[in-house]
Amino acid sequence: MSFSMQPAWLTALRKKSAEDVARLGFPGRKHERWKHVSARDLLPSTTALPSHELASFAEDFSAPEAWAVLVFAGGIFRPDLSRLPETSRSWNVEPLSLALDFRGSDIISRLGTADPSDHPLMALNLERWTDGLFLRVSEGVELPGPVQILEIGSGSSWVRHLVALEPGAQATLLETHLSPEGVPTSTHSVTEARLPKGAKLRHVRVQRNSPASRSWSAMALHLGEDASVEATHFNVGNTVSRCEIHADLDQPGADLSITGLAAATSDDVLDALTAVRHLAPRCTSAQTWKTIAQGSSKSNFVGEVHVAPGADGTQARQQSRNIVLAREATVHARPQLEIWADDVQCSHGSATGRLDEKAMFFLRSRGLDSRAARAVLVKAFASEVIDTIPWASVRSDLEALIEGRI
Amino acid sequence: MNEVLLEIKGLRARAGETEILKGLDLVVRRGEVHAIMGPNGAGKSTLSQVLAGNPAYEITGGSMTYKGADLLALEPEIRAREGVFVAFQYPVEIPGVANNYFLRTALNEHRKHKGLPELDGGAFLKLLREKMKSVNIDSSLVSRSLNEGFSGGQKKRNEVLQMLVLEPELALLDETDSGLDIDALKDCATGVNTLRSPERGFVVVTHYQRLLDHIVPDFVHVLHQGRIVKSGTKELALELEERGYEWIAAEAS
Ligand SMILES: Nc1ncnc2c1ncn2[C@@H]1O[C@H](COP(=O)(O)OP(=O)(O)OP(=O)(O)O)[C@@H](O)[C@H]1O
Ligand SMILES: [Mg+2]
Repeated sequence: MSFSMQPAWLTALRKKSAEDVARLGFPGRKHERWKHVSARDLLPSTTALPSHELASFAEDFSAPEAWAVLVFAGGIFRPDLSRLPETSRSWNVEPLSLALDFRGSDIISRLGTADPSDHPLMALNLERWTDGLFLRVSEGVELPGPVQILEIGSGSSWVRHLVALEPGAQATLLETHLSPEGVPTSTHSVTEARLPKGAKLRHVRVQRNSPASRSWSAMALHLGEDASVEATHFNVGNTVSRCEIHADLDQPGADLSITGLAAATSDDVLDALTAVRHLAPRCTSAQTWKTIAQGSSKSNFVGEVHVAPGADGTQARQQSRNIVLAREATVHARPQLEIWADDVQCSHGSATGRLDEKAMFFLRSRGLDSRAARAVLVKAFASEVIDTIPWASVRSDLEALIEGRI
Repeated sequence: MNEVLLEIKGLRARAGETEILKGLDLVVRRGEVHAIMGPNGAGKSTLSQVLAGNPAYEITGGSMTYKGADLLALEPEIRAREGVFVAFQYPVEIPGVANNYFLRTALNEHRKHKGLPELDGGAFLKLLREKMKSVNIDSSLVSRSLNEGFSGGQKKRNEVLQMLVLEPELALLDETDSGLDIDALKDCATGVNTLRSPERGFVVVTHYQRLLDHIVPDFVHVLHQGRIVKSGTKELALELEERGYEWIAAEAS
């Protein structure tokens, strides 16, 4: 999409976002949220990918279980590599660039509205995005199958996906982020969704970029009454990456679950931030973040939970569990709870350590050597998260990736 | 007499600062079943752990010779592949590790060690089903996480199942009978009895004479304060049942 062709409202939105970026500036490492990866680290110079490589990527990583696949390479939609579903009045599953022409009003009223207000990279993304998925599902409709987004890194890409579920609608979204071996790329990807009453979103993101890449990806979520989001995030790329999930539970009865698994090796820097705000009574949030750390990698998890005054009946759970397999590898897990309501159940826990010695010894006493025993235990640690994924092709890809990293 | 399978001489071992085994002697020949009894805290489970090679215990003296080689010099996994099996008193729970997956991995390590081809999923399943039948283990347990949420009895049956699959030459069962109901006790005993052969040796650690009605031992030993202080035949077990351990303690000191 060329910016000169875009509607006037979008030009104005981009301009305003650019002003926001200028006003907010890039936070340095002094900022709690940016201690380990600076915003500038995520904006390197990059190289574009030859198109024959793109095609083979798209083929290898399209999940056969997906009902629709949308391929974006370097932030540009690739109809030739994508598989769109039949059109229906019950849904739109199409690139934003196309939807702008036909569903402009749907987009105007939504685009950028789920973003947290004080976030420079979000603003930068809103200024620069070139394309992304537009997913709309009509009231009470459940999408027939999972929609996969394949984001292939090529040069630097700015992508924004807009999920527009109507009340009671249900959708499943799989995002696969990958980049070619040895080619420096950077991806900046935002998925935004405001879920109205009773809407349900299942979201899985697999970040499996190659070592030369930089990636930043964020979700901006708002949950209405009895809406629910189940998000599972795999950070299994060899890279410097950061992922963020910002979720506001706006109305009573909203339910959010976030599960993350990071596998870091060699000199990876994997950074994760979740910022969950309980703004209404009787909402629940459950977060589990797990890390497997190898090599001289650095992994970080900052989990912010904010419970606003009046958000009574809140249940917020957060735990992080981390296995450190190498002396030089580090994991920092920092829960940050801010609770301003009285009647709440909040818990958080964090455990970081080596593999359980009793279990290691038991496996060895049955004939597995240390290596094999370690592999079995790491696989078990990871499988708790992987086994929640309903697609066999994605599970086996993840299993192989993690096995290769230990 | 049969060939010596295991010879323990003057074995001393400790955990942390405490010495637990204080000069233990035991000889097990092929074809024999030995029972070890003794009061709580005597060092029976320590012997099991040391036999399996648990690095948490430090050997401070004595020797353990297995099939003529220095067992103490071998890593736990090599001992296992060479045919040493210990059914632990408190089987560990390992969430996320499927019982059958783990057991197939273990069996294939044993087979590789012996120069045999690995078993594929189908062949393994067939073998596993047969073994499961013989200890009446519920088939649903087999695909669940190792011992996670298993009842005490199920854990013990599971240890016996592992033994049947791995077919050790020397097996030590540490209180595998504790906490079992009558049927489970019989099933576990059947497990041992089906493996009993002139080539294999067994050591069963127990507090109860009743197990020995099902697994009839050739020898019964009393382990007290880190040493074998009395040995006899199966009649000794009956005597212990009747008189307790005090008279032995008196005799030993
Ligand atoms: N890892 C360890 N660290 C510290 N002390 C230990 C350890 N293992 C065993 N002990 C101590 O050694 C002694 C012997 O313990 P062991 O478990 O071998 O006894 P046991 O004969 O098996 O008893 P039971 O009949 O109750 O099972 C006990 O006093 C116990 O507390
Ligand atoms: Mg014991």
